[in-house]
Amino acid sequence: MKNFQGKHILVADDEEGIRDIFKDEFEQLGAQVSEATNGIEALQIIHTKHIDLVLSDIRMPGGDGVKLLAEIIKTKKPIPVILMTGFSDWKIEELLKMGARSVFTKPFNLEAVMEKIDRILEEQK
Amino acid sequence: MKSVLGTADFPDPKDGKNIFSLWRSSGLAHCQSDVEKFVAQTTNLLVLLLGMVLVPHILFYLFLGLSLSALICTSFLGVGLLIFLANRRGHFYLARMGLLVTTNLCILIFSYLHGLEVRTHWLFIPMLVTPSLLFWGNPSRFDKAHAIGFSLPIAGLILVLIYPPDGTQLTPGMTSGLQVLNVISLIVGSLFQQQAFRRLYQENQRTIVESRQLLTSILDNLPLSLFAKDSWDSYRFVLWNKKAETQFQLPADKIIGKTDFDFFPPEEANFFRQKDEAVIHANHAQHIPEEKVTSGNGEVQYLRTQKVPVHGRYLIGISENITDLKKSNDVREALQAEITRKHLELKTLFENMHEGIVLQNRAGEIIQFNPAALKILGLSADEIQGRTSTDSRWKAIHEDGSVYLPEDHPGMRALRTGRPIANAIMGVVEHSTGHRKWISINATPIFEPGQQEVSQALAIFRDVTEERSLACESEKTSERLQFVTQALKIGIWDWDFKKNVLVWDDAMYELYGMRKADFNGAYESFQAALAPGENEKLQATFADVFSRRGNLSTEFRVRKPDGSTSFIHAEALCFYDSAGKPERLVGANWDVTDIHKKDEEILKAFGEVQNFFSVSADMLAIIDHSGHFKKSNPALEKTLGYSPQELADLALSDIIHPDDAVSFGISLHYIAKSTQTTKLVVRLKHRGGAYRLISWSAAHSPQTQDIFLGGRDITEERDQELKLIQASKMSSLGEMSAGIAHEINNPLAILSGKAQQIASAADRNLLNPATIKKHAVQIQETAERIATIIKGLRTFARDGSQDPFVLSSVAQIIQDTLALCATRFSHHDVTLTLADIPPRLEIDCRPSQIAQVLHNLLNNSFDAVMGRDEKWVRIELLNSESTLRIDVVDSGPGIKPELSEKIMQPFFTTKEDGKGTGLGLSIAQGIIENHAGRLSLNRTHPHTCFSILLPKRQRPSTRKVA
Repeated sequence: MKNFQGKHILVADDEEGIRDIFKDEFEQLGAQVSEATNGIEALQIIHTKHIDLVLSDIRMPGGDGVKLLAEIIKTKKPIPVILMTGFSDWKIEELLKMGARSVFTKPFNLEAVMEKIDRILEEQK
Repeated sequence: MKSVLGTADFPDPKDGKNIFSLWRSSGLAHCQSDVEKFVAQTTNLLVLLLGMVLVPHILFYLFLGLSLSALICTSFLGVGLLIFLANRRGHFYLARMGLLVTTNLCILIFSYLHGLEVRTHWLFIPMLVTPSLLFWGNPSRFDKAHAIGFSLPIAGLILVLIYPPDGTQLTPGMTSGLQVLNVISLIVGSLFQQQAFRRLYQENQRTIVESRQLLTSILDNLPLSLFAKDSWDSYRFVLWNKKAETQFQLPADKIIGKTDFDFFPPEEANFFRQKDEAVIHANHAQHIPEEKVTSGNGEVQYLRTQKVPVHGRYLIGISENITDLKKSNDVREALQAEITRKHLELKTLFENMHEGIVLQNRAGEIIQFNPAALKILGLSADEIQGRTSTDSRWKAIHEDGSVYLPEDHPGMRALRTGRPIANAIMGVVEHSTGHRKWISINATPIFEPGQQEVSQALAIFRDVTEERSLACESEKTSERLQFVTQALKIGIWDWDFKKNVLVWDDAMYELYGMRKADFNGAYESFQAALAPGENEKLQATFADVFSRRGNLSTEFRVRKPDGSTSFIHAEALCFYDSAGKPERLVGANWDVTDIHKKDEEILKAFGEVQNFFSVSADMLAIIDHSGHFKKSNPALEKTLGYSPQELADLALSDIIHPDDAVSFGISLHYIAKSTQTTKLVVRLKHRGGAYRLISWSAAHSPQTQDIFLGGRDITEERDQELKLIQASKMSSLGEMSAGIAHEINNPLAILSGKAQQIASAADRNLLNPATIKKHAVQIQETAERIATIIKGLRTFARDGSQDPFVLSSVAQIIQDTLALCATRFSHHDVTLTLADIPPRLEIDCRPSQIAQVLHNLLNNSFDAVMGRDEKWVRIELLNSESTLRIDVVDSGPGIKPELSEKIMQPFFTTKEDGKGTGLGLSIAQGIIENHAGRLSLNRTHPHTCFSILLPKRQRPSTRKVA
């Protein structure tokens, strides 16, 4: 059984529905969830709070997920970033090369995503 | 009476004794003005007051004990003075009444206050006598009687003062005696009074009779009619003198007491009455220069009348009969008018005739002339006036050029001989131009009435310069003709047909390149010069001309001795004998080789054009202004499938697609006015029935009014294009796919996520109705989002070109379009602003096509703003009554001016390879034009702005065109 107790996860997506799904999931597992509707908001939260993991959409108005990834890497904080996208000009390999821990395409398998996050958080320990 | 006649002056009524003194009724009568009347009336009143009121007042004073004597004297003197004044004014009765009352009162006063002492008699006596004396006097004058009457009381008073009363009382007998004396005095005074009046009356009566007699005799002897009317009595006649009786044939006893209306016709009577009333009302004399009156015997007379008002009541009229004067005036006026008319006629003739006229006096000086004379001689009026025949400036010559002696001048001869001179021809020098002028002169002597001697001469002349020069001209014509024919190289020939004698002039030899020696004057000689085969043709021509007795006009080739060939044109008059056989031909020949050469060149050029016409792959045609084919080339015939014969009977309008007919008609009209080449695309019916789409270039020939058309069948091309448009759309769809994938994958992710969450919750038995409801609502919303996107996609992707035009909500179209790209814009931080769209705003359109155009513009804007700091796109609406303008504005860098021309062209793109087909805008433009609208780049806008202008309602013709 997954346990996200004490973890602080940031969900960045302009789609409220997506954010809701993950918020539900993470909170059920005991994690604290912060939400951002775009990259800039997300970056501000990262600067002010301790974040254990970032789950971000790529295409967002006001700073997309790829930029967010680059900025997080710049901060040198060891925050794993998982990207999601409905459609992107980016190839998954490129994104991984840039430092994304994982990339999912929408629509995704929620269970697979959760498994992946769990594994990453486990690794963090 | 001195000035009654003919003047407005009238004697003053108070001036002496006259008839008018009869009407003087009171002392006020002579008062001229209101002021005087007022003064006179006031005086009368004062006399009355003094006599009747003041005196009794004095009595009261006496009782109060004042100095009696002084007061009585004063009052007596005052009363006497006032009576005197009243008398002067003619108030005789009043004066006497006052006097009587006063004297009697005085007597009473003295009697009762003084107890009538004896010495008082001194006073009584004058007092008693005075009234009689005053009565004795002439009532109209202050005379001796009056003087004594006034002075007596004063004398009595003085006596009283000298011998005051001594207290001796009068006896009753004396008193009674005094009273008796008083009464007698009054009776005597009254008798005197009566006598005085009788005397006055008689005197007046005499004066009146005398005046009447005088007046009547004056009036009756007047040579003028005189009458008087009384305006207070309906203008009845009161006076009618003898002259009036005779003039109007109306006796005075009949007319006195009657009015104008009793004798004269109503219109005349009315006229008289009007004038009468005017004179009376104005109170001023009036002169009537002419009035008509019908006398008692019916004779019509004309009068000159003076009407004078008298005392504002009487109207005096003095009339003079001017009938004879008027008649003679009428005759004189008619004569004068006739003379004037004749004079005018002569003057008009004199001034307008073409012949010059001069009148010369005995010395030969010109004393009168008409404008034609000035014109012919070229002289001004000042120059001709007084000029004589002997003047050397005329430089007169005879027809043969010899000098015209001054004494031989026709005018001079007429003056000298007294006989008229006719048709003398004279050459003079026109003064103003110096040109020689020829004039033909007729001169006539004029005799003084009753004299044998000639006093003046009248010379009439006309300009014969032109006639003369024409005569000279004809002499020179043949000479000139010769020059001309030589200069133009026209040969003249004369062929006596029967004798076969052909005469040539010099030019003929030149034309034929022959020497005179080689020509023997027979037709055969000429025939030898002809090119082979020409003689036969010429003979045939002759036969034809002669058979119809016509004239010759032909051309033939001549072989010149130097071997060259010339074309000769021949024109000849043919003369026929009575039997219709040709007798003689006179004609001219000239060389037309050059013309033939030019014709050949033209023919050659024409042949070339004709070849082009035939081989052209493009359709070529010439149509007349009504659209009928005048000429067509094989390409056209092949494309449309008609034979040349069929086309010849066809007009473009017969085979044009009905939907294009109207616009084609308009284009044709435009082409006919334009000097430029016009492009137009119409569908024409192939002979087989199918329509071909033809693109024409058309130009108008102003000379022939024909329209030249060059056309190309673009049916296949257009089909290709349409396919390409669809392809472009698909490509555009590809461009969009990334966006669409994102649009759809996001909600799909939500759906899928939710589904998994529900499944997972079910597994763990954590499902409760609230959770299920929450998820279900979100799933529903998300599914609707997807549906919207799919709908927008459908709207866009389908080929809307065959859709019907429908009234569509503008808001809906824009929403459908935005559904496809709004997310894309927001994800790239492009602010998309949408103007307020009136919810009921609708336009007649193919909605999917308009959405396609809008999408295209939005995509272009999106691409343009990407990579810029400021990223926004605005959709603005400009809603007018009949049109709607949709502007798509963006913050992009704008379109460079040099590109703005090209952007609408197909396959023009600024995007990198693979990103755009370059068809978007050209397709969009095509769509908007099919909507009878316009898609344009607004170059004046500070940002990039594309405007779609659309009519809100489509015309039926637009709806039909695909």
